[in-house]
Amino acid sequence: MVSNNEELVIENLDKTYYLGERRINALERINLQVKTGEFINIIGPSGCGKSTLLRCIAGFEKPTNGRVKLRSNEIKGPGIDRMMVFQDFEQLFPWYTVLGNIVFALKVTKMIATAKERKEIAKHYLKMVGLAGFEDLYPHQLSGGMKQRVAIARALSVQPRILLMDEPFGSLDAMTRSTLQEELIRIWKETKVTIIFVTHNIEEAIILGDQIIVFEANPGRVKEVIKNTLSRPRSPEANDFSQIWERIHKLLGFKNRERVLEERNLIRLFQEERELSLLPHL
Amino acid sequence: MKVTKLKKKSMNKTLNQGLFIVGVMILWELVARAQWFPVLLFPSLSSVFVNLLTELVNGEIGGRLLFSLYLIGAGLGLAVVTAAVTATSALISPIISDWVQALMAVLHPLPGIAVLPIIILWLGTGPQSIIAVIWFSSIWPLITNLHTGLRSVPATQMEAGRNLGLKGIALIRFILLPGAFPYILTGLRVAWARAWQASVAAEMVFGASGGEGGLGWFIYKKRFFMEIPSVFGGMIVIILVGLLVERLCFEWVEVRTIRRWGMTSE
Ligand SMILES: Nc1ncnc2c1ncn2[C@@H]1O[C@H](COP(=O)(O)OP(=O)(O)OP(=O)(O)O)[C@@H](O)[C@H]1O
Ligand SMILES: [Mg+2]
Repeated sequence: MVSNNEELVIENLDKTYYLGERRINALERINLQVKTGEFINIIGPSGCGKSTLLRCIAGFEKPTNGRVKLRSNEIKGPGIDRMMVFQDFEQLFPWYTVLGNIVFALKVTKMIATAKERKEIAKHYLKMVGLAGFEDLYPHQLSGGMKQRVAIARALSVQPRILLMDEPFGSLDAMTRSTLQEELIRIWKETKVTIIFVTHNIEEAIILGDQIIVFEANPGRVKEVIKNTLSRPRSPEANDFSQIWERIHKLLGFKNRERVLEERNLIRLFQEERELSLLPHL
Repeated sequence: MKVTKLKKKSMNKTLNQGLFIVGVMILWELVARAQWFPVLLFPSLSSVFVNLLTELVNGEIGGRLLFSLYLIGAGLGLAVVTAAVTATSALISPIISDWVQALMAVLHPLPGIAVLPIIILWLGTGPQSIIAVIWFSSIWPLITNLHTGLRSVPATQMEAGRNLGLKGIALIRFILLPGAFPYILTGLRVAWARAWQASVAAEMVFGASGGEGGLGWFIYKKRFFMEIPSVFGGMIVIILVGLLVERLCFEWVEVRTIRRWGMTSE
């Protein structure tokens, strides 16, 4: 018990799907430890089982072999100690207002006894994600970025131990994405919640995570775990940022160094233009 | 700016449509007064309305209307309950889902009125047979829409619900039903229209054999005695009730639910 700050332990996890005759090893022999309060990033090619891993942790899927343990208790199904934020914009309940979505979460989980308290807490979390004043709008009246903010607020409102995020900013434009990255770091520091964050974007992984877990596909396996000790706030300009970037880029199977540098330059260019607000809608 | 413009446009449309209907009514009145057709078969609109007024005040039409509404309420109510139970079981068990889909495919094309002869043999010629026909006519649009609606709810909303610890009946009640509501409303609208059609048609087949009946029977009986203004009066009441229910019930609900939630396709 003492000195055991392991929040989540994944032991020898396999997940196999069968599509008719075909056998898909979505995940094979995954072993991971996540410490309380850590910010973990998972990156890998499409189809390497990132979503499947999150869904096993969330309890939506059962592992074929092995187990996921939360504070030494094996996970058997979904629960509010692990809240998921999805990529797609339809995760909010359209029949509730922004405030109603959070109040509903607090109500069905029986977190809070009185309606008045529920409202106050919901407002607190909306303020945390920068949406104070938008309480009475319905989800269809929000932009994509605002919807993701509400989804984050709703997930946090039930005070999960772990926030599972499956490419939550994947459908957003570059500007909104980088704003939300900054705010997520602030929220993470404020709430001290453990975050496991899946992304396709190398830059995003480096900006956010303490640890970056690089996956490979067919079968889905952990290729390498990279400790990211860059000081925050992290800027793609920094030299050591580039080193990690190139390392991940290589791990993901892009071998051509020329191309790597070219892409890095492009990203740098985007970064500059973004700062100058020349690309507001990219 | 934009909102007022939109409002103006829709007001123009309403005005346009109102004028058109008034025009048709005036045309009817003029044609009837010109007496190109026998007055007995083509009464003037004014005489129809005068007749309707006296019918409403001291005639039987009010009672007939209430009786029709009672039959439709009973048939539709039963259909809603049956549809809810069926669609829910189909949701829980894939085997039942297959059965329901087979039933829908086979029985949906059968007009409700076609089962009336056999229903009369089984249940006799009383109101119970009409209720049965209404039930049979309205149940398929209800089940079809409910079935489609429950499956239209995005998987992520279901998972967000499960993440909050919802399962079984609670998941259906809090996530699936509101998510399926656009389809449920459509189903109710179609079912209501079908129920009216079925009730009127069934009562006309009964003709004068039953001692009591609703508006369908009223129209049929009035034609039998050649009281043609009352025949038209019966039709007008059916139209008015249809309009009233659409405007006061369905639209009222729609504006406060799926339109507010942005769940309509328009
Ligand atoms: N329900 C399922 N049935 C069958 N195969 C599945 C199922 N879910 C996932 N898979 C397969 O498992 C593998 C991993 O899928 P997963 O969605 O976890 O990948 P991912 O890393 O999240 O990909 P992406 O980056 O494109 O989101 C894929 O080959 C996919 O086809
Ligand atoms: Mg995925």
